[in-house]
Amino acid sequence: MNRRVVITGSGIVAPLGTTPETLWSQLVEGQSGVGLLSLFDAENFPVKVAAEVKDWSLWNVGVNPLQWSHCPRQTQFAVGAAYQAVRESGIEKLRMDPTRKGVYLGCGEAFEDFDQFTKTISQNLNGKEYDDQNFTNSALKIFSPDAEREYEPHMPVMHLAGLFDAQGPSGNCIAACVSSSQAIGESCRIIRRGEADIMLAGGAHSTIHPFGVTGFQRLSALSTYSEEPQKAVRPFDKNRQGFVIGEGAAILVLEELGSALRRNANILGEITGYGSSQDAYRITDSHVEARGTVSAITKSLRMARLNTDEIDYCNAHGTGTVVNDKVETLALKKVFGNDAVKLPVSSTKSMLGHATTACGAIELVICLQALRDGVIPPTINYETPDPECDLDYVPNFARQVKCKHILSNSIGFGGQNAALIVSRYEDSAAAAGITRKAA
Amino acid sequence: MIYANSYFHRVVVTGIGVVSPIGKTTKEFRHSLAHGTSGIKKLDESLSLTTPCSHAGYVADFQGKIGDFDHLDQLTRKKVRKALKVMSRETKMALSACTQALFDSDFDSAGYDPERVGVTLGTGDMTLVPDDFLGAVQACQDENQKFDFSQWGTEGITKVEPLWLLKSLPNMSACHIAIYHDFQGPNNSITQRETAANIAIAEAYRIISDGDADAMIVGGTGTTMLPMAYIHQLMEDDEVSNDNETCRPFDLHRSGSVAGEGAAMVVLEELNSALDRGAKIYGEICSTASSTVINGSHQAKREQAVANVIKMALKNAQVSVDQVGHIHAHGLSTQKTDREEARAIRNIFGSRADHLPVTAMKSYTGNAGAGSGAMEFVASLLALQEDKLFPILNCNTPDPECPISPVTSNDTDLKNSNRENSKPGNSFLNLSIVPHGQASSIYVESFQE
Repeated sequence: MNRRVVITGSGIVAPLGTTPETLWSQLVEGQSGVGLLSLFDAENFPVKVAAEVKDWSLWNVGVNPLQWSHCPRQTQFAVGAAYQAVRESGIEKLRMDPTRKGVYLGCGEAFEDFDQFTKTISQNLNGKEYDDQNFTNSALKIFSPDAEREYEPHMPVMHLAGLFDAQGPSGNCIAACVSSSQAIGESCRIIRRGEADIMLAGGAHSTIHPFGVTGFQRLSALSTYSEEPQKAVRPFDKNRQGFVIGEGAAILVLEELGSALRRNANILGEITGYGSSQDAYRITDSHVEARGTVSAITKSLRMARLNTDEIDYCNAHGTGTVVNDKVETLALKKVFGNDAVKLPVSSTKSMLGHATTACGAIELVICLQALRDGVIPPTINYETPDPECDLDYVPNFARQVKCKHILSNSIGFGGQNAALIVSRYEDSAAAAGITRKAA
Repeated sequence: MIYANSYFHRVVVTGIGVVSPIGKTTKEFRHSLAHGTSGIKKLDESLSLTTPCSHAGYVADFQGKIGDFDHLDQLTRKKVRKALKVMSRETKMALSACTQALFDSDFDSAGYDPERVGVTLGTGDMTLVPDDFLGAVQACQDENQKFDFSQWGTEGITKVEPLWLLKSLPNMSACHIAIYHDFQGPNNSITQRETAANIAIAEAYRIISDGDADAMIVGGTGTTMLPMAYIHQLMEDDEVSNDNETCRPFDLHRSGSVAGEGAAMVVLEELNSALDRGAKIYGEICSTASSTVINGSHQAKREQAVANVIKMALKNAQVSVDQVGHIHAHGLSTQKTDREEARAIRNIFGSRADHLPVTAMKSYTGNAGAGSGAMEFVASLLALQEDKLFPILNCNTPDPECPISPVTSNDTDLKNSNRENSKPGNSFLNLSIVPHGQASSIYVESFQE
């Protein structure tokens, strides 16, 4: 039982870039994808900034967007990212038992059409009088069944399974901001155990929606700074004041190593470590001693059989909220001990905002680029050091560092934690007992 | 990759808990199944504030108050009482079922390392509940009762409960359970509608089998009674009617699904740990499968998906069609889905399908979304334990278009109790279906060393 899991394809639709390459070129330049919120009129909202996917449609992957126009943004992002990943991996041409190919995503909830939903409530709300039966009767007349179906969070999984004839294990998980990391980690488990040979894994989400802003604003999690939108999110900086809502999708093709080698696939990296844990502390607060985050990172290192000094870079969760950045710093110091000060840590959310359930997958694709180019993307807007956040956050400028093993950490509301380790693939085909076919 | 474990661990069920339309304790649940008592009823008019349904499998005696939570120590009880206001009804049902399951398995005495105990839960999606926005919408109404969006940012937002998002997020049930019982291990929530519970059980099974946890608390909680969930059900199947009163799976005169709610949780443990502490064992999880089949024209191929998950589960468990004791079907009670499910069973089981008992619990509870798969799983575990199978209610005239052998009330009458159809056998296959083209299965055997 020694099945290894490698990545043979990756796709991304994010603010700043809608392919891994274009996104990467912006990130290493320290560009910001944050701007004034444009997807709805936020003029009277307390929060007016967001990191939006711009100038993109499914035409970019050769698909007619009209066929998908009834689907929410996140579903379209997922389809776009999946086409990129599948094409890069070359599995489209692979003849295989379709039940050996699965899909596991961490896609968030897509909110109902705000206008339609609130208007329908309003129509049936007269003073204190309101009845769900009346709301339902109006909704059945007005709401479109095609659109309603697509609001359910499992629909992107259904679509990808259909598009790529993946009849193997399938599912969608929601574990707040660690969803897509857990989808990737559990997909690896499915492959390792032999239940599938290929998994499409990742996530998609967009909370740039009046309901999304309402929810996060009520939790006081958002940065309200809007004079210079690009400076609104400043992870690990002393003057940080919250995160900026982002959106996007990233999909990976995960493949059993033997399968990848037999078809001579280009291997982008290997998932060597994964850990999931719970703070089991409070719904609203992170554990003061960061015990859940420590546990998830420790598990991932143990699984990868790596020492702390072997991790070359940590892509942090780094949302830019006061608590997250402090707790995450504490966790890294606890796990890495004396090695913590030598570990470059950066938050790409400083440039991309927070894509909530999709962030883990997006950041893993970024880690693949760092692995390939030996460049670490920066934490931008880092100006004033915070004594409670005293690690090397790769401030403002990308840095050349040869990377062999990268840690991608995620932390979520409710005390959820997940960590992934992606490693440069070392050709040990002989160890796996497989001879490489000549190209 | 798990180099430390050169073998897979075996996984058994050691505790169960339910909050269902046919009982909010296992004892009541068991009693209703034994007596063929359905939990689907006409709803009181006072409920029209919270649900548009006229009939549903409603857990009427579950108030969601602290009295619904037994077996909590004093400190935890205090914490739970304080947190009830930030819990959705699905979370409360899951938490109550969880505490029952932990008590049933005498979990406190097991003494596991909290980092090696996790939670995986099948839950519903984040259904928007109009009730949460009445105040906010009202604040944005102009003099003609019209909603004015320009007011939302200033007047509306502040009228929404501060913790609304945390109350609604689908992963919160699993988080609350982890918090009150100090489960610091792997934690995940599967949002895959009706198949979610099976998929959650599958994930927890893999985690223990891989050696990444000693125990996992798993199950499902859900509802289709809330307005948006109900609207989605009505929209996706033209057979479902607004006033359907009876759920009759595989019956010739079935007329669609009925809404419902409920939760069920089980304790999964690594076999040797369970044996060492002398835990009672309900059954062993032998294999799991899920499959989505949608063709090039975006049409759901449910029949193929069901056939796939039966075939994969049998293959992974290395058992033949003759070894399966009974099938717990999805049995939604719609013309189309029941027919497709039955044909898939016939396709894989062949002539064995003439006698293979098939039961379906939605006739007692309605469709509780992610909760149904878990309640059905628990019902079949109880059937194994008691060596008595409960019948499908209202299946008075089995549909010849459904080429299987449904267990009817006629089969389980005392005078007929020698028929093969009244016996659950030593194993079962639990099936669940999502209308958009996915199926999932779990294969469970009575425990034998």
